[in-house]
Amino acid sequence: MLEGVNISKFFGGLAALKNVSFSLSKGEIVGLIGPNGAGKTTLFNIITGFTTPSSGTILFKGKKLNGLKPHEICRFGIARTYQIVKPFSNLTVLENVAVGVISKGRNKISLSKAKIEALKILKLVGLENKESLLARNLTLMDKKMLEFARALATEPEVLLLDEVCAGLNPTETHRAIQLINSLRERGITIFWIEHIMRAIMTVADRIIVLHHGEKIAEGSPREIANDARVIDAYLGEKYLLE
Amino acid sequence: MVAIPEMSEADVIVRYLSWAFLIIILSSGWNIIGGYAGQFSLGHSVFYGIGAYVFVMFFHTFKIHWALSILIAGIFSSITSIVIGIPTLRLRGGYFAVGTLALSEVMRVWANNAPEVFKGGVTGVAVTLPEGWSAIYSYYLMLSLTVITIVISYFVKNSTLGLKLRAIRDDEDAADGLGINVLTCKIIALMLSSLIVGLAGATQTTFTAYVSPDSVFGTKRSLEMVLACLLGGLGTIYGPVIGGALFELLARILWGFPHFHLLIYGSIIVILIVFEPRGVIGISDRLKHILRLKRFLKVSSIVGGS
Repeated sequence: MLEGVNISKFFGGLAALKNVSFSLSKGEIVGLIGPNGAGKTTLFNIITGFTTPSSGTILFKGKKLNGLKPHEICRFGIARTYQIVKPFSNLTVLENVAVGVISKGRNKISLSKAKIEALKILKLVGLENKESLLARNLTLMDKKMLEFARALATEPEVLLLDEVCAGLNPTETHRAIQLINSLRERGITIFWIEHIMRAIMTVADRIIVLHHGEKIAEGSPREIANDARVIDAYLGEKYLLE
Repeated sequence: MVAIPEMSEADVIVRYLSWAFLIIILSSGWNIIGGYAGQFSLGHSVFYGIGAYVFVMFFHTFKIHWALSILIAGIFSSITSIVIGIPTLRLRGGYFAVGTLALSEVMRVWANNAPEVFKGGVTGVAVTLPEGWSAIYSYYLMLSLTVITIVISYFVKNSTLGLKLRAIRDDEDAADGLGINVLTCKIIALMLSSLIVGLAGATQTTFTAYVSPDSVFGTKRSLEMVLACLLGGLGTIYGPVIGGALFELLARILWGFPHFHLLIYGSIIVILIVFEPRGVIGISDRLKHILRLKRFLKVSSIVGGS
């Protein structure tokens, strides 16, 4: 469904990504892990059009996405959340989600209808009681859920999640995982960056590991957890013992 | 307000009100791009001036009916805004503000030095109004344009375009990532904004009867609409209306202190930005909040006492 072929990105002399290839099939949850600075977010930025790759191609259902603007890519059906949350601070929670609904761009929708749609999505993530609050007044957990809701509002086929569990406590992490599982049931393909191993190891079908911009491993969570290079580069000995 | 022109001795008031309507229209028009979309244009005098000069060209030189000339002037101003918007609206925040500010001065200097394009050159041009024209007609024109502007402002704010613009104001990248074509939305907002400002620029010549580069172009005009909008409340429908009226009132009061009026203007703006960036609307929201709190406390103390 979504495929990346030999993607490289150089910032000056620094290689943020070197010949990274990946492929997601429909309905899959694929994890993307690696130490800080491994190039995970850069890869997401390239997929969503915020950064142009130095070389390589991104294919979505066989169509090339290179050179398209973020809003065009979003309309193709690829949505994302951000590591550092980006709510529209001075809009209400409902309006935030309505922005996603109206910009789907498939057919024109009135503002009042968009708000009805938005409310349905808010119920899905459990924010329906906070619809009239300004987004800047939400807690971090709620802001992350709002990112989810907003991305879902664009009716994506592929959803890129950038560290949705970072900064959440165990209960909240649990809620986020439940939500991700429910999205799988709706047939949404998920590409997921995460540092919280407990979360990603239990949910992901497959995991890709980046290190210094290179893909060093790919496989099922179990394979990854036992991969010598991954333990060396990222997980550490302690994880092995658990 | 509507009844005032009928009073024969109220010529002065009619003029004052016309000026007040003018600033209300300008700041409401500016508010669409500056307030809703958060693109702080400091060059809107360009559209105002173009409106005025295109009106002079069509009405004065080509002898076209005044109403049609006003309309042409507004449309011309709006088209110009596309040409200006495509490069400048790619700039963000302060860079856009500085870019448009520069443009505003460039237009003033150009108009001063190109009498073949801008009729009259430095000295300006006196506009001969149609036979039997009176200040009351201008007043009604301004009044109707004010109403039209507020209606446009209302519909933009409550439309999907308005929501997109407000999303762009809060976070351009996030808006882009959610499928909003940021540049197109900004250009549409600028076109609407410059249409209103251009119409106002054309209409005001019917009561000033005079257009010169320094009176229509330049930083002072550009800043006025921004300040009026800040005074009333950025990004709201009625903020620029209240702000425009207050601004004009302030100008009339400060008329008597020619050496100090700019100083006082500046101080008011600084105080507002520091203490209440949401202007008069923000202050009234706070008062409402306090009143509600007081009422709540009163009710709870009664309940507590019984």
